[in-house]
Parts: sequence; structure tokens; C-alpha cells
Amino acid sequence: MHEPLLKIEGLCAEAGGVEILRGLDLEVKAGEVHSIMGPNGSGKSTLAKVLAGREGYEVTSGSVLFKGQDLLELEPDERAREGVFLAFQYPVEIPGVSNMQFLKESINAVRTHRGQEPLDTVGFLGELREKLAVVGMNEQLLQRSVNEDFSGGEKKRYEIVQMSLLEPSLCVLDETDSGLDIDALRVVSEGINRMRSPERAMVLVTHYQRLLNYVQPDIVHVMVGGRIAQSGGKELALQLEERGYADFTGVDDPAQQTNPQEASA
Amino acid sequence: MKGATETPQHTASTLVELVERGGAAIEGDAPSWLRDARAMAIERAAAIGLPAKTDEEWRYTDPKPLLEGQFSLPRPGAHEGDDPCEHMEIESAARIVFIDGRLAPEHCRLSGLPSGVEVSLVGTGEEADVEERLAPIVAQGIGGARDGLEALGAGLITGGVFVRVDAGVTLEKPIVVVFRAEDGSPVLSAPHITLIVGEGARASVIEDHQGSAGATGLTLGRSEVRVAKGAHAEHAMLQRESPGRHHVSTLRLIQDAESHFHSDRVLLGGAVTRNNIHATLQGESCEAVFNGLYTPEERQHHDSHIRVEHMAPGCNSRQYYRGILADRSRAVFTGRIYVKDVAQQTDAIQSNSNLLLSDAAHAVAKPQLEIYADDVRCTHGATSGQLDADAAFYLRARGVPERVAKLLLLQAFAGENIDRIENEALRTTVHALADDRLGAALERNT
Repeated sequence: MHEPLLKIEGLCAEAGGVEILRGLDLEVKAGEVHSIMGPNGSGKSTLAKVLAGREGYEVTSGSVLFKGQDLLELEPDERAREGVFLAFQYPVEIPGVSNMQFLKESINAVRTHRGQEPLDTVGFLGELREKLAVVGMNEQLLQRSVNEDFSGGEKKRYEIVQMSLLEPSLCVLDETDSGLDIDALRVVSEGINRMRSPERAMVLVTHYQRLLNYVQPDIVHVMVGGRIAQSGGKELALQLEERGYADFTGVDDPAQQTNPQEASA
Repeated sequence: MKGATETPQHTASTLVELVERGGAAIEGDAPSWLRDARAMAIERAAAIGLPAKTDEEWRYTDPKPLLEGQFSLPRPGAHEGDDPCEHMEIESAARIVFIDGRLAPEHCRLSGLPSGVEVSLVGTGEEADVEERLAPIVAQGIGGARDGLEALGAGLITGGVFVRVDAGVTLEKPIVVVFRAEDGSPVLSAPHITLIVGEGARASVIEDHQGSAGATGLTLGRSEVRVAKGAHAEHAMLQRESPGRHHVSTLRLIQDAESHFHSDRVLLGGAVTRNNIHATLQGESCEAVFNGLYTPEERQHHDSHIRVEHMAPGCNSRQYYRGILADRSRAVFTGRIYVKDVAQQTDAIQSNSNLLLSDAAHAVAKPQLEIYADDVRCTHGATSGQLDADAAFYLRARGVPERVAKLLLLQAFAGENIDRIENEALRTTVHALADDRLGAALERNT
């Protein structure tokens, strides 16, 4: 058996003094696609943010090993260079920083870390064009500011472009399906599926089952109250789609479970 | 070259003493109209009083270092020797260089101006008959001064340039005037720039105030701009003085109908800096843009004080001022939009944003609207805060190192106003200066 790419044990984390993750265990092996589902406030997005190293989330106990090293010791940019990628639920608009500057700084920081030569503009454009085409975007966006005036769908597609450009070994997609119409969902899913490979693992954080119609997970986890309540195959997602999270929460309406910290995060 | 012997005017004194001694205090070999102007400025300063920290207009900038520091006027005669200036790679119509308040004739280029363009030197002993055109403007500046320091700036005039462009003439390239402080002893220089743009004409002037690391003293500058009907004028000032030198400069602008004016003012250097703009849009349908960037650091103090008066209907004005404050620096922005009762359909915007890189830095923003017309659109906005943590995290989550991420965000913030600078060479220069400065500031402020 391979050593898992990601190994989380007993992870507890809080934000603003409120405990959100309460002893979470998760193992993800290279080549696997995991889906983490759960009601609002269950801690799904918090897990994604903790993995990426977002400030304001404090790990109080537990461990996260990525390729055998302590991920929590690393700064957010070090994690990214090591191969952890977070596709944001709400990609940030950055006026005045062009996508050209941003993508070049990003890919060359990652390449340099991997011992590869930085790309010049020609090489960079060559790489990028191909990735843009997959999600139906074009290089005109390079002159625009990062995510500025992008529609909701464009922002999500652009996350996939960045992911494919950086070729991470662990992709964490935080509610990437939210706010997408059916066509955009198909395009984004296609981008994700193209990234599947035996060397790469994916964790899809999602509230709804519909993304999983397009991206077939190997393992589905149900997260409730800051830990994994149940794990299974993709049939588990279908069961959730039919019956909601009531079996796990004891409440019919998942919105009732909203944790204010998570909802505002 | 005249001798450099000490005469009474070159003995150090404070501005307070100068005003107390009265107009006769400044002697020397200046032409009579200039001696009159200096006397008038000193008398006016005595009459209306030098500013004090208790004045509302000086509440956030203590004028004491400006008024009570010992300064001497430049020695007479021209500067000879090498040109120590940092020059931009700029195509200029003419270049005039002053070093320590004295003209450096060897380093000036005044030839080859198109017809209909006059560029005359002022207060250097070399001027021709500029006085009859300039004296009324100087007198008007002194008479309209709102405090004694402004009066001194309007009339002391240790050297300067008079530019006039005739009606219908287009001067494509800017007139560049460099004021360089080299001397470690505290020199008071009072540079005076006049730009008169005739009906339908077009012209621009760029002032570059700079200094060697050890220069001290005070710049008391004045720029008089008159834009006739339908004319286009640009005026830019790059203030990159030595950290030990104080800088006060006032831009006085009067615009006629359907004219366009653009101001760029970049404050990088100096100890205490006071940047005054007093603009009067006196004809109908004028447009004026006041673009500014300040990046104080260490213990620098950058104060911008802007007053835009809409006196006629249908004028647009824009004030865009941004600052990045590091270390223990201070910045003040006071912007007033005044709209006279007849100035209907005024469209005025004022925006001021500050980024604070350190908890010890402090920014004050005072937007003021004074509106007597009822059909106007006037908006103002002021913000002050730290770098956007979400944006920094987003960049870092893509592998961009923290320092690079922050520098990108600072460059983006400053870049919005730098990109607005009209002259491309100046824009490129300011981008480079700001990048260096902000990179170094980030190193110190993490």
C-alpha cells in the first residue's frame, strides 16, 4: 500500500473562538477523488481553508500530513508550491493586479520550487492558451485585473484554469459547483475530469450531489458537526440527494444546522 | 560669476525673523521689480500672520519647523560645475536646472522652441523684460495668499521660469524644470513657475524637485497656471527632495471657459511637506483633474491641501489622491469643493484613500463640501486601511511568496494613480521610484 498523500488525524480547529472541526480523520491516496458533503455549518469549508492555511483558523489539536510532511507548519504560499491547491468558493477580486502578472508570478514561483526553469512570456502563453481553451476562456482576460468584473461562472472556470496551470498533487475544491448554471457546471466538470490522474488526488467539498453527476468520486464522506460521520461509495451521495442530511443531523432542514461562523466565512 | 561673500541676505535667519525685520531685510542685486515683490510678500505675511498650529488649516501639520528653522537665501550668481541631477529619460521642449536655488546655465537647454512659445528665466539676473508680464501675477498671488507662508512663497522668488504659449499654439513636449538641493547647509529656495496658456493652446510643465541625501533647508515653491478659453494645460510636480529638507509648494490655477487642466503631484521625499492647490474654475464648462500620490515613510509628513472653486456652470473637477504610509509617517489630506450659487451642473468628485503599512503610521482625511448651487453632483469618499488580507491570501494560495504578494497589491494601489500621470516618461520614472520605495518599506514594515 502507498503512503496516503494526505493524512488527517484528530483535527480540531476553531475560528473566532468557536470550535468548528472536532476531531476529523481523513486519508486521501494519490489517484483518488473524494467528495465531502454535509449540511451548512458542518465544517466543510473550514476544512478546506485550514488545509490552505487561511489566517484566522486556529488548529487546536490533531495533525495533517501531506506527502509525509507536517502541512500545518508551512505558510500558505509554501503549501501551494508544495502542490496543495485550493479552488476558492469565492475567488477574490484584485483590482490593479493583472491576470498576466498574477499567473506568471504564480506559475514561476511553483516551477522554481520544483527546480524547473521559469517560463518566459512566450512559453507561458503557450501553456496558458491550452488551459483556457478547455474551459472556454481566452487570453483577452490577461489584461484585466484578477477576477475583477468576472461573472460567477467565469470566476469558477478561472479557478480551474489556475489549477490546471499549476499541476498540483492535491486539489481541494471548495463548493466549486455553487452558483453555476448547468452549462458552466458541465464545462467546469470537464476541466476537473481532465485533471484526474494516478499521481493526483482531489477533494470535492460540496453541499449538493449534482457536481457528482459529472465528476464521479471514488469515496463520499458525510461531514456533520466537524467530523466525518460516514464514508462510502458514490451511492452514499445519491442517498443524501434523496433523503437529505436528516439521518445524520436529526433535523429535516439542513439550514437549521447553520453554524454562524461557517456561514459568514 | 559674482563673489560668494556673505552679505546680510545670506546670513541664516528664520522666516519669523525675516517677517519681523520687514521688507527692507532682503537686499542685494535683484532687479527692482523683484525687490518690490519680496518686500510686498514680507509685508503681506506680516499683515495676515504666519500660520500657527492653532489655525484650522494647519491643525494636522505643525508649521514650526518651517517657520523657526534657520535658513539662508541662495548665494548670488550662477551655479558652475557638474550637473549632479537625476534626470528622467524625457523628451522635453526645454530644460532648466537650478542647483541650490541658483541657475545652472551650462545644464539648461532653451533653444529651438517653436514660435509663439516664450520661456524666460526669472530672478537669475539674466532675464530680459519678463517683469511687466510677471509682476501683476506675482502681485495677485501675494494679495490672494491665505496665510503668511503662502504670501512668502508667492513673492520671495529666488529663481524660476516664466512660460507663455500664444493662442492656438501647441507645444507637444513638456518644459522640464529641475530644482536640485545639494548643499548640506540649510538653503531657502523659493522657485517660481508661471505657465500661461493662450486661447486654444496646449502646453505642459514638469517640475522635478530633488536633492542629495544630505541636503537640508526649505523649498518654498509657487506655480501660477492660467489656462485661457479652450486651452489644455498640464502641470506635474515630482517631489523627491532629501529627507532632511522641508517642502512647501502651492499650485495656483485659474481656468477660463472650456479649458482643460491636469495636475499630477507625487510626494516622495522631504521632511515636512505641504502641498497646496488652489484652483479657480472661473469660466463655464472647464475640466480639471488633480491626481496625487504620496508615500511617506520613517518620520516624513506629507500634507495635501486642495481647494477647488467652481465659479461658473457646467465644470467638472476630479481630485484623486492616494497615499501609502510606512513606519511612523503622517499624511494629511484636506480637500474642499466650493460651488458658487451660479455654478449649476457642477460635477465634482473627490476621492482619497490611504494604505497603512504600520500601526504607527497615521493618516487624516478631511473632505469638505461647500455648495451654494442646487443642481450639482458632488461626491467625496475617503478610506483608510491595511492591505486587503483576502487578496494577499488568494495570491499566496497560488504560490506567490508573501512579500511579492504584498508588493503586487501595493503596486496595484499606487498604480491606479501613477497610471493616471499624463506624461509617459514621468509615469515610468514614478513607477520605478515607487516600486523601489514600496519594496523597501515592506521589508521594514512586516
